Amino acid sequence: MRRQSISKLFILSFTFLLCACQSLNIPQYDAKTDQSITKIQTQVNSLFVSIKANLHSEKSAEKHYQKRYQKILVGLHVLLTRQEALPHNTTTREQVELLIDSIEKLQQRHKLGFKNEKELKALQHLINRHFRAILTLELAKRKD
Amino acid sequence: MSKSITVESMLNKMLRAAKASVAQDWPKVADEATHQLQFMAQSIAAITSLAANGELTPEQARLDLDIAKNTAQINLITNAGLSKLMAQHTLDDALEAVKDTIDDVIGFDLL
Repeated sequence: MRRQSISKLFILSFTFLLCACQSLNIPQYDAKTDQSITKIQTQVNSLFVSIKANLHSEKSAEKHYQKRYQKILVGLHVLLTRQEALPHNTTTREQVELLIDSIEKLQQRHKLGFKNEKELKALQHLINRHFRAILTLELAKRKD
Repeated sequence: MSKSITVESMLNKMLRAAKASVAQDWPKVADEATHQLQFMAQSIAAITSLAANGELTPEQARLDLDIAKNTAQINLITNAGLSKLMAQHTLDDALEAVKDTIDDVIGFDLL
């Protein structure tokens, strides 16, 4: 009898604890997001390196990079869908939305042409700051 | 060039507008907002200078500014805890405060 009461009390306490944790609305670390964002960051930096290498030739034109932009944007949209599905994840979702917007604007900017390495370096720095913000938040979730 | 604007004068105007925009939450976001507005003021100064020298077309300058604005916005939501909408609203108000001066210096509608 006493053992049954203790078991019931334990189950009740556990259920209460579980509900309390869920209601705290704490976003959880997601290893897949961490890996995906690192992979996409590599693709974006590789894009910049390639444009820089071809800068003063016809090969640097946006038309030669459309498949790369497409791959990056598809990866980001898949990542966005994942963020929308994860609970309590508004900030990461909003971060990814902003990164998508910036990559689309980078492609538009590429269509207009780049004159020198300085321009590219400045844009690469700005885009990398997006990635850093997303990774900083994701890694902070792991510490929590 | 006779017409010019300093980062400091831009920043002061932008800070006043942002403070009014965020209102009672300002003490919580002041450090990060100041940092990001300083970054925006420096970005605007750099873009204005390049455009004035003919190194950037108006279209290129606007896209560069949009990407800089997204950078400031992502940092505001990450480090100051503002929502995307609130961060956008704050930045829009800050940029509105310097719009006429910048557009006058640069000679086209940048902001």
